[in-house]
Amino acid sequence: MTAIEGEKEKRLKASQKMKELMTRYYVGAKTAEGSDKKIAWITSGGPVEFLIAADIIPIYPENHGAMLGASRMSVELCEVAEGLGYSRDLCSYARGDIGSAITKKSPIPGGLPRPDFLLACNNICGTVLKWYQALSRLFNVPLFFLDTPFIHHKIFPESLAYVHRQFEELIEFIEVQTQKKFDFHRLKEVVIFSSQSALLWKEVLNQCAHRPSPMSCFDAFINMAPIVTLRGTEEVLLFYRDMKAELQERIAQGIGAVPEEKIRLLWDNIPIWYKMRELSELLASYGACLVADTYTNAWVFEGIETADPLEGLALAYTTAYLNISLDLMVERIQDLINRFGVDGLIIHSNRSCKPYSLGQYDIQRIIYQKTGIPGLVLEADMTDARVYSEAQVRTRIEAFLETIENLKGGARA
Amino acid sequence: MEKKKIITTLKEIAEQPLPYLQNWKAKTGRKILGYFCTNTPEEIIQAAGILPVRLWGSKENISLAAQHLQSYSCSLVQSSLESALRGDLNFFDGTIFPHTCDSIQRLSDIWLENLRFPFHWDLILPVKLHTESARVYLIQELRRLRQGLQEFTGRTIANDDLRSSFALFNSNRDLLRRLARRQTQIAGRLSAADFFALVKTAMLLPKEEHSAKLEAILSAEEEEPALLPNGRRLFLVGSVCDQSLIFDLLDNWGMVVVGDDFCTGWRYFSDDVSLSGDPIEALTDRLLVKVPCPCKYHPGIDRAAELLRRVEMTEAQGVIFLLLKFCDPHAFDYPYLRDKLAERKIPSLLLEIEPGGLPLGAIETRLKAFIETLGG
Repeated sequence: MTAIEGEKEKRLKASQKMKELMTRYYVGAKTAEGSDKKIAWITSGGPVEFLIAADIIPIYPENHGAMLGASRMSVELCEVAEGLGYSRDLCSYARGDIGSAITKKSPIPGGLPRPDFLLACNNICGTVLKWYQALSRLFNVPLFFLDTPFIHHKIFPESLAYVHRQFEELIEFIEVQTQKKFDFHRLKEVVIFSSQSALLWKEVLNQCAHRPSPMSCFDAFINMAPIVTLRGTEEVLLFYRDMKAELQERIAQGIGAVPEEKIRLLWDNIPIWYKMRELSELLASYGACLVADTYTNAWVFEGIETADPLEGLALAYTTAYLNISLDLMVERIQDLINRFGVDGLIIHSNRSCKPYSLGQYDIQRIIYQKTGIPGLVLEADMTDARVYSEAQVRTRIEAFLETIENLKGGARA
Repeated sequence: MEKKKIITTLKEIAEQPLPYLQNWKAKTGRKILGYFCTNTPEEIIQAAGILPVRLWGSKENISLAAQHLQSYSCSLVQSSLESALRGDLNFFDGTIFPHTCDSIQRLSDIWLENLRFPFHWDLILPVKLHTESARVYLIQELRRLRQGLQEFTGRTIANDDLRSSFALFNSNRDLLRRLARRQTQIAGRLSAADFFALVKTAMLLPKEEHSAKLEAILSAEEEEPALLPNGRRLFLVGSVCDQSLIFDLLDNWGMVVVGDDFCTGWRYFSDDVSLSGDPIEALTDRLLVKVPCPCKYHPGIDRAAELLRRVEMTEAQGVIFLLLKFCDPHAFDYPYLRDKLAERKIPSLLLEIEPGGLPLGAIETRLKAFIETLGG
């Protein structure tokens, strides 16, 4: 992943540590390839705690997809998948990863380590089922599919019972894969680490409520990799403890993520990974800071430490942000607006991600009606740079920021 | 002659379903619920005294829906919302959205946010089909729907109501299967356009009326005028397929559509509900064993093997994928299915149906070129 360029002293020390952490993780995983240690590929919203507890290395194709985007390798690899017949309209993480699995091209030398099995959970989309079925055929490895019923307006106990039962089936599946008895006590420990990491991650993000915000969401996008990939381990806990301390230190010193913070924005959807630096600089030049987003908040799991760990996990994984209806999404966005003092929304309409994007036009309208906070929709894609229009995005962001400046000026006058 | 007349009537309804439905409602005073997806248990809706009607989208230009949906949503999602926003569906009493794909799931939220129908229901079907836990969950979900419909209509849906509904649907499916089997033969078969109009109207008309018409067609002694005896045998694959223009093209060129794997074709009528045991469990079991669509997960069923089995059984010479553009589940399966067909030397062609209709000129050229490669 590329670090945000900028004044050197402004860079978060955490970002460097995160790079080291992720490098260790990927090197460790590559070393394990072909050894007795099992490797599982898992979706970003999947219940990784079960893997960690069974001493299985989790690998996240989505995190890798983001890396492909940030390192601008994605388009070339998407084209490989398209050559195989995968439509250009499909998720660009899936296309990029399939292209990488075939060509072994990746920022990680030799590509992701080969999986021994796959774990897909549809709490983020239906696409992961199709993507992981393709991977299952490609690598000829078994797939465990975890089905989390979608929540329209309210949650039904029957849904949670179904997910709970599937966790038991997952444990049986893992026992077959590892040929070992699953250690339930170990799972409880892992859940505690996971829950504490999620809490720390929330506190890290909460630092942005301060004016000026000590970091922007661009920093959060980069430093979210450990909470996504390694939650449930102790090192993640230590990493976010340090990161939180660093942000508090910045606040004490009055250091903001952007010079002269004037506008505070909320980002909706997955980042545009190949334009992080440009967008960050453009916003900073207007004194605009992304202080909250719906994406990194998806890894703030709460209440998972229950007497029966499966119960807490069932609730946490079923109520994922992309598994709830628009009205509930609006509630969560309103909560972020209030907590972080947001002046406007930048809504990335992400061609790759229908469950995240369809409904955004209504969200934009509803939020405006309820709060008076304006939103800007940018049509783009998270890693497929071919659909990105540089000039159009720039012009629209500039006009939007000027509108907010005027609104704020008017309010003060 | 009778047969021709019936088919013509059904084709007219298939082309313009709404005036027929509006008229039916005015005459009977009964309720109509629209639904998406072949996995909707229409039998429960019928047992509640309501007419279940599949929503097909329209072929009008998209303008109102564009304020709510991105251009990268499929034509079904865009055009259904367009019809509803325009008020074309105002006489419907509500809509049922079964959990299928990401787009339909979000369409439900947008629909509820912007439209006011008396009844709105999300049927959150499991994606898994092969586990006991999925079965237990699905039973509860179908019971919830039964309860919801009872509250909506204020009348009890008795087990016997369900069983009579099953019998009605089973016999309609049986008639459709008999027609479908004829399609693999040359003599007595219907044109593709006629056949798919008959299937489409099964999802629009009351079953009693539709079945009576199908029986009349099946029992008519006279055979269809012989089609080109050497017409190439084609098998069609897709989701919702309402492309009468393509069917007409194939018919005019003397092609013989011998089978399909459409939501609005074989997958709609392939499996029956058992009349014995608890009716909700029987319905559940139908949904678990019926031919799965790509949105469903069953590790024991290989879609490619199923497709090959049916393509070979119907002696099809080529396969045409008629997929909705932006339909992710089908697009993900396409390369695998195409490659498996190619391994058996069965040629295939992919045509994408775009929002706003078919770019017919380009498709015609590609279709013609494909058919020419199939040989005699």
